[in-house]
Amino acid sequence: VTKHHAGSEEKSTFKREMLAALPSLRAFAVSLSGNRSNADDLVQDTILKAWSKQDQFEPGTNLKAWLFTILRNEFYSKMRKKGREVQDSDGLFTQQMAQAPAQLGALDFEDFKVALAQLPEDQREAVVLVGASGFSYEEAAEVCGCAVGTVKSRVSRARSHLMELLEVSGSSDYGPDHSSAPIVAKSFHN
Amino acid sequence: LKYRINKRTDEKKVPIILEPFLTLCITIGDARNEPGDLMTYNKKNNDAGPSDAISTRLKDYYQSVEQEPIPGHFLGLLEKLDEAEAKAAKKDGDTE
Repeated sequence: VTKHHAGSEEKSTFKREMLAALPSLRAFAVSLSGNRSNADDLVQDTILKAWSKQDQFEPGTNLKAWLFTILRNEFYSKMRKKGREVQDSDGLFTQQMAQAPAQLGALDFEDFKVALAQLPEDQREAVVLVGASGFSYEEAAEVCGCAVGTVKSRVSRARSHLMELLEVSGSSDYGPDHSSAPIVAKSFHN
Repeated sequence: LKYRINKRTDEKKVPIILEPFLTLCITIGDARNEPGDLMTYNKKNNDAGPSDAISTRLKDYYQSVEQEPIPGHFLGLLEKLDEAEAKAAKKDGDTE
């Protein structure tokens, strides 16, 4: 039996792989929280947690999935602490809409971001993990701590939900506008 | 297919002139019933059609965030953690 007294080589591998996972980890955090400053806090907490728990990580297993699991747990424990406080994303939207003319390409993402923010958390994380972070259904199930079948049904519900939302938001003549949509959606959820 | 055409033409005594038309109809019918691409494309992980557009937009959005430069303080944080640990390890090594 090899003891997990990580050698310096193992440690540098750990660090290197963690660095390599950071862009994706951060994108996951932004997708979950809909907000870059919250996301960066999440990533920072995740780095600290992962570092302090690195003896619990089994070398050779999926470090990326392990990091995503930590970040996800951090996200939900923060949400629970915050209680039912509305996320900060509304303020951010107004701010980003003001910046939009400077970066026209961002407008296309804005619709999508708003739609994504309207999904229930469990659907959002599932569709992001499988559809963008590059995890298999099995890995995503591990990250979310649920059954593979649950992930599958959440992903498919998320997809049809997004299709509906984006079709409607294509003609924004009626219904909530960009900055109020997430708030309206939230109040229906609560 | 041939067998079916023959059978039908025999039974119903379709005039020979209508045969090409009939063949066409049967071919279309068969294509519809075949469990080919049309029926199975939706079962894959990467959907085609409208939900494929959703997948693409999701990936594009995600990648746009991934491509943003990693905030400097993350890298600094990792360096600090590394240094702190190297010091601790040295102490450990002395006592062990």
